[in-house]
Amino acid sequence: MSGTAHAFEQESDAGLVSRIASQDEAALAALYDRHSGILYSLVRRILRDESASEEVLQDVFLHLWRIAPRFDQQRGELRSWLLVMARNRAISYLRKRPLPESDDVELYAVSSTERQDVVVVQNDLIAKVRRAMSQLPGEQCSLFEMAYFEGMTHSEIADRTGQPLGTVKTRLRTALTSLRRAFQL
Amino acid sequence: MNGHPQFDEDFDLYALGALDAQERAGMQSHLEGCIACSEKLAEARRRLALAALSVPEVRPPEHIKRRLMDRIHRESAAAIPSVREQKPSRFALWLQPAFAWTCAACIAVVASILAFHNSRLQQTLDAEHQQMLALQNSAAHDRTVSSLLTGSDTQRVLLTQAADSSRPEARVYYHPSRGMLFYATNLPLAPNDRVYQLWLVPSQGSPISAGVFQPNPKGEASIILPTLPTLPPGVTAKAFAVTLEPAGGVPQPTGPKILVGAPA
Repeated sequence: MSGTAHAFEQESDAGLVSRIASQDEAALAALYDRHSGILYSLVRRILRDESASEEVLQDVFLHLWRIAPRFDQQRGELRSWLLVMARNRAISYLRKRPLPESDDVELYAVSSTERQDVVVVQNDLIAKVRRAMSQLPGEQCSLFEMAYFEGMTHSEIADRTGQPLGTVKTRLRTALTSLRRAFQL
Repeated sequence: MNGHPQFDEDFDLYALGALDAQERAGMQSHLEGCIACSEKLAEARRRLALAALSVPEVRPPEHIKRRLMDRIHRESAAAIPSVREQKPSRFALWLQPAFAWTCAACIAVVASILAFHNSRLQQTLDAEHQQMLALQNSAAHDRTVSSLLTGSDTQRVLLTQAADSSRPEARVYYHPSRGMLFYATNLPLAPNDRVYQLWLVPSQGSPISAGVFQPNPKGEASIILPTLPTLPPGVTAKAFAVTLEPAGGVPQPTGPKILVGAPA
């Protein structure tokens, strides 16, 4: 981590976004150091391609740089917002779908929540999420992953798996119910 | 879609992008005008974002950051006007303050008039679009209900309270391929951390959730499901039940049976 990044170590995400809104490049570098790992991992899992993942990751931070003055801190936690944006961009890239025209802060609005940027809380959260995913029955987990990491719809999943559409819907709903209960934070 | 989505999972499915085009369009048109549901969608997005944490973390190669910061730096530099650009041009006369203010005032007046007309046209268009969607949804809803209510092979089931048949009551109209209509009356509000959950009990296998719900202040609740999970060949709906469960529902019933009923 660079000296500049050390200087921002205690700064909250909200504080860094305010600095970015004032064109502070060092603040963007610090935010990149803080979140690029999980964003890159997600995008790489979706695209399975180094070069495409690099392009999408850069695009996410470039977009943050451009819209920072409009990012409303009250509208949601930054990391979730970045994850939603990264997933949508990676899926659009994968499925060769155009991004929506109104690709801005409202499109990816997430709800506000307690800050999760303390390392102990982060690690606890990661363990909780991984446990919840591993406890899903194999079939449900597989359907959820097709929807989450490949952006497939009910019908596309039914076509690929050969399962009746109603069965796919029920299993995916059941998986989401289980995850919702596990993710109540 | 006329009303609010019935199940919390509907918001998850929308955020996930798993809904097919027609379902997605119906929900999208509702979300555009419903603040409460937009908040639920934002909550679903936050929740689903957490699933990304299940991916083992890999540090991105160093060169990505360097390239990003180079691009950022170039953008910042391009945004600052150079000294050369600030030199007076040969059109300086046209940029005198008085002339500029006059032009600006004229442009502002024209822009206001255009904006006013544009806004009125947009409002009319939006209203007609909403009306059309409402009519389409209403027609689809009516067709489902009518098909279920009049179908000769629709099963009609009366659900009553397990111990006392005098108060809460519900009816189920069930057809394996046309869907299900559920309507309850006299149901008390569930406690704060609880919801009612409707179950289809097959002749073989575990109960299948048909959704969670809360009655309105009059004690009424309804669920319409145009599509249902396909039951294996030879398996039929043996019974229907309503249980009281933790908020959000459960994969299998755990709480007390509030209403039960079997096809005649």
